[in-house]
Amino acid sequence: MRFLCPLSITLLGWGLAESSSFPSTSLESDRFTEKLLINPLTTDKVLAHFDFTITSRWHTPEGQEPHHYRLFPRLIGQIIEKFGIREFHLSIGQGRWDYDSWGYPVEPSTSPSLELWTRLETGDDMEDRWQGFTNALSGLFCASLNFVDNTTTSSPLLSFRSPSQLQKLLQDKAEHPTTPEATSPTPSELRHTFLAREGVCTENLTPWIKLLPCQAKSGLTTLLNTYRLFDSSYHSMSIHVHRTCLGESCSKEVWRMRQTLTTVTDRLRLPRQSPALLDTLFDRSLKNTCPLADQSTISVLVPTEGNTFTLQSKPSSWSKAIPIPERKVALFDLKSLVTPNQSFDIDITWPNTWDAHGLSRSSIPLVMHRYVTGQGLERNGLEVHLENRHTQDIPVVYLDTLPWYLNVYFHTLRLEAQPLSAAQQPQVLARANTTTVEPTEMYLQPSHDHGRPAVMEIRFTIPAQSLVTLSVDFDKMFLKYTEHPPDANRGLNVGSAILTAALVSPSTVTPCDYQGLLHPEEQLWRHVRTTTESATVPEVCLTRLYSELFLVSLPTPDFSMPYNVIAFTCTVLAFFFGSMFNSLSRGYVVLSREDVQNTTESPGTAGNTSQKNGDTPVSKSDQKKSQ
Amino acid sequence: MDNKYLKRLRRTEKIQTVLAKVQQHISLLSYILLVVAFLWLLTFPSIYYSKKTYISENALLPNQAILQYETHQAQSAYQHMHALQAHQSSEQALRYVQRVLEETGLRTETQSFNYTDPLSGRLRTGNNLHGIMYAPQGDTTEALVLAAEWSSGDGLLDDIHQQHEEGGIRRNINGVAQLLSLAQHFRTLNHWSKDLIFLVVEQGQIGAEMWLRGYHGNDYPYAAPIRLRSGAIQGALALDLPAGESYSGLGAFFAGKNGQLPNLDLLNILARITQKLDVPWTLQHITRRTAPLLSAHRQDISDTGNWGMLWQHYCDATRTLVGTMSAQASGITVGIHGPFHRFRIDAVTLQAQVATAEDPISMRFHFAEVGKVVESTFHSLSNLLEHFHQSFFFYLLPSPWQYISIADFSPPILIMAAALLCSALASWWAATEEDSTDASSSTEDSKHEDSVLFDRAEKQFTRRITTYLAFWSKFPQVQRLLWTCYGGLGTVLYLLPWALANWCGTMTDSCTLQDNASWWLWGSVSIVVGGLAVLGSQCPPQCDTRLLRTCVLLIVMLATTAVSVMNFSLALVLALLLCPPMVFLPTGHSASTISSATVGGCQLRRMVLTVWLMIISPPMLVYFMHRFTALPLPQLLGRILVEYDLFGAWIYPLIGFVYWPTLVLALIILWR
Repeated sequence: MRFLCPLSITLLGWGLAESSSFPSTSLESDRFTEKLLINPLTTDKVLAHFDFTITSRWHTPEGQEPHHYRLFPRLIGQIIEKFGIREFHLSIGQGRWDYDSWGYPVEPSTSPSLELWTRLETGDDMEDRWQGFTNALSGLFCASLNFVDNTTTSSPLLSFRSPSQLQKLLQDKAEHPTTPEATSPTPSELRHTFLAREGVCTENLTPWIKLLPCQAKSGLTTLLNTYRLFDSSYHSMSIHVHRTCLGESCSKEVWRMRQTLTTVTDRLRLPRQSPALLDTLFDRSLKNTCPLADQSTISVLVPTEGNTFTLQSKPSSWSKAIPIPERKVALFDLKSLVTPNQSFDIDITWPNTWDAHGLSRSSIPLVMHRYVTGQGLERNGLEVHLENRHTQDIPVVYLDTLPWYLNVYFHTLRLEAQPLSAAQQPQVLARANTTTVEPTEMYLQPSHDHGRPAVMEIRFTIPAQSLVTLSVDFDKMFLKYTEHPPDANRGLNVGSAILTAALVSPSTVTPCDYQGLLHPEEQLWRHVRTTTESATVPEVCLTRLYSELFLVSLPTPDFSMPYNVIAFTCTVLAFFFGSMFNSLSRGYVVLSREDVQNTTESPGTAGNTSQKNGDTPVSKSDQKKSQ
Repeated sequence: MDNKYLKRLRRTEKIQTVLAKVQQHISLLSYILLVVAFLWLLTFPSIYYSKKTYISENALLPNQAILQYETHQAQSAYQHMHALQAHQSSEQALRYVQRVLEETGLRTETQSFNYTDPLSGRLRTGNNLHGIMYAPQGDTTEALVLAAEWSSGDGLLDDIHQQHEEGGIRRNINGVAQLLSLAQHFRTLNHWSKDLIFLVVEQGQIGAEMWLRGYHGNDYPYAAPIRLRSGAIQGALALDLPAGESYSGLGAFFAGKNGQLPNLDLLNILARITQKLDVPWTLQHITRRTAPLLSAHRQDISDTGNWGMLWQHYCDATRTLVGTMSAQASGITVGIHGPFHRFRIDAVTLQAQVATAEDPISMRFHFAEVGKVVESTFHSLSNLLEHFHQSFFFYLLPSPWQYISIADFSPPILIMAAALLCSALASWWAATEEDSTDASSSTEDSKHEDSVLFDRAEKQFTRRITTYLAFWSKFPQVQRLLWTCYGGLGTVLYLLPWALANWCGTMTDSCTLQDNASWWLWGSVSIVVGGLAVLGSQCPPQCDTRLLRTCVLLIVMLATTAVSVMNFSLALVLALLLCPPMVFLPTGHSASTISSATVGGCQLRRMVLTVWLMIISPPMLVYFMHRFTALPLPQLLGRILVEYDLFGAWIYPLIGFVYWPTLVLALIILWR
């Protein structure tokens, strides 16, 4: 009876905050929506985001009704139940999300690797359950999640708290108690892991599609053309399973599973560009909708200015519900637009002129870049650039998990702020006008050799219009030769750093805007208002930013000829040097006969010397040796 | 008497007699070794000595991709060339490059730097520009660099000072235009596994060094930090295309600082790619008159018709080896690839040779072919799954298709070291021999054989100990001399230019590079002469030059072999310059045992050796270099200092701390 938990808002992870008007009919049965969001990011790049959501009461909180799976996949349900999972978020991505040009993504996790974070119910067998869970997911998604072990797993204290707690944490300057889920009656613990260097492939996509009610047979999934998908500049697929509640006082608790797939297509690399949007992006057009879906829509974000594309088709409606900066939202309700005999597409015209960057650099309030410094084994370190282009201070939590083979020197951790105006002038050579930023809260977990990773979690505020540079030094350690990964020795990838930030009234499209558009009934990320219901409270969007990965090439054993020769001769020379130094650094004196006799008479010495005639020079060192 | 003990004594006796023979002929042995080493060096260019190159890293797969850079794409290079020619100021040209890269969809950043020349205190400023094309689906962990500098380098003549002073810059506009058109072309391809960085640098190698320091996050007061970065750079190509209608050859310049070489695989794939594309390929523009492999000729030695061909190959290979090895030894080459090696990045500069009227039309090429070579190379580099194979950078190249591995090229230098060792032993034995002359008189007694043996052994042992003690009593003097010369004189010589620059800084504006260089040259010469006088007078009559000679020879041996592990060519130059005079240096004598008969022969030897030592002294070498390269002396000296100050090349400290003091000590040994 793991899931018997009293109702409480704070339990519910990211997924909610305030209840909203949910159609009462859907309380009785499962509900499935399929949505596609298309947003031109720059002149050449177009974002397409698929969102398939199943809301289900497959398991009632009371546990009185028998399990009944209708749309919610039984595969997931059983795993959740068996391993005591409160919520889990898995995303596999490939490619780099270019925050500077593309703005913020729809799903915050943009790490070009595999990321899994989950809340496990606390218990004695947690480690076993975590292992079992990752192995189960590994089998389910054909991903190498079975390689997750304690060297890659971390339990961050701040970054993955529930939105309300995070909101409080980030908005208040004061320190907070570190118990993450203090109010929760059945405590849960967070596990977070990165598997860097895990590429997405069709073998991951096929099981992902299989979880959907209509699979790839009808509806928006038919657009998932793998040739186009894996030729895009960026793509990421994810699955989020968590509990949410319905009703005014959160009286009904339901499970919600969101499956999303994001691609960014570079249309200039495509062989042809037709005036039909879906045809251009996916090389397919829609023939039908999923009959099991309650909602089936395509939203196209049409830029009000800029050089992207113009919409020719007439949408079902222009959405006014959520104001999105610089964009108008055209809604296409596929249930009414798609007719069985005719394929559906959206007519557009592509621009002829060129505009390199759709979004200007300054419009994105917060950007993070992480680089590794030094070369070879010299001066290794991390350098993280956090740029706040906003006019307000932004409170953030920085989380970085570094594997044990990077020996991090936390005493070298530095946080320095510099005004953007000074940083952007190329003629300023040295780092001018830097001031130290005092972290509000800091958790540093040193690594264990061949064991747990080093984790640093730092809460601080990035001053308005400034660049904060976080730097820390590390040394590369030696791997045992069996610990080297079996593939080509390219080096080891280290997972992204995560920056959790509260963006206050941003002037660009945020993940909250996207989520508000996709799930208007549930305010997933946005507007976690403070308890004072005052009108002046600014709109806040909580989001996470993911940095680039980096490559560590560790010292590798080199068995090739020259090094063998060098090692061998050096060994010989070392022996030679030892004996030479030994004999050179000793003092030698000539002993008289009396000295010799004195020493031979002393007990414990061999009497050889007494037989000799004449003055026999004997070195003192020999005497010492014989004693 | 113990039988065992006697046996041992007999054995030592035998060894002693052998040793005595060796002692007699040890000097001869050192001469023979020296000759052997020289003869061995002469076999290097032979086709039978080198091996055929092969590609060690299979993932590189050269020539596998279908190349899409055609004449159509090359048209854009011509457009950029004309546009850049229209922009006269470097500022405008830089803006143009930035605009083109940004329009291609790349993010760009400008880095400015100013570097103060250590000799003249002159400021060198410039702006580097780079744009990053993120690989589609790449994870930004690895990157490749395509670089071009604004001026076209030509060995020592690419010195920036000179260009500014003369006003006419040989601009590498074609190289930058080619880079821009390649950036536009690469943008349309989707198979890149690594990010591509397009870099345009100013001030040649100094700019490249500044950019690399910024990229790797070194806090360096002379250069602005770089914020736009990608992952670890795995390889770099630098383009150097002088202005010209068409080109007749593509030359690789690959030697880096301190003898660092790029991975041989990088040169191998370039050789294979250029061969497939029919682009004439050379190493440092040293043309070859023979077929690339000569495999048929190689097998059939009996055919006398082949001898001419093989001789031709030998001559070409000699020129190639001398050219590439002198570049490796000095670290002074064309192009901006040099600094990359220090950051563990394999890099090569491709310089095109402008076609002359004699070149046949069929051999000529231009943007389209160069673009294809670069595209094909980048395909190969992008294929690279792991790093280049380790330890594939110990090689000498007699031709682009042949290499000499470390096992084959290191013996001569080891033999030279052995010659030095033998010579050192000769003077060491000479130093310890003086007391042994009277030892032989007492062995005439007709005692029992065993007791004779015993007596002799005992005497020898006593002698060894006494000579050892005598050595210890002499050693402090020698030690003091060594310390003052290598430590004291070396430090003064090493610090002189910095002291001069400092002094110059206080002397307001009357100081120029010209003044400083001559101050430096004359200053160091006078310091050396003064040091020579002081040290010579300091060395008292009883000072044992034989011991001193032993120590100096051992130090030279140590320096040569140690340098040979890192920079074979430099070690070879050092050995070739120092070994013969040091070996021929008279074994030395103690003050008491000069026999008047040998003095006459000795004088001639002394004179010859003194002249020899003068000729190989650093000022003379600098003068020869100045005559040979036609570079003004101040620039040459400034260049040597910059090499050390910025790129960490060892030549300058090696001259200051080892080479020159050794010559001074050799003179003292000679005339004492």
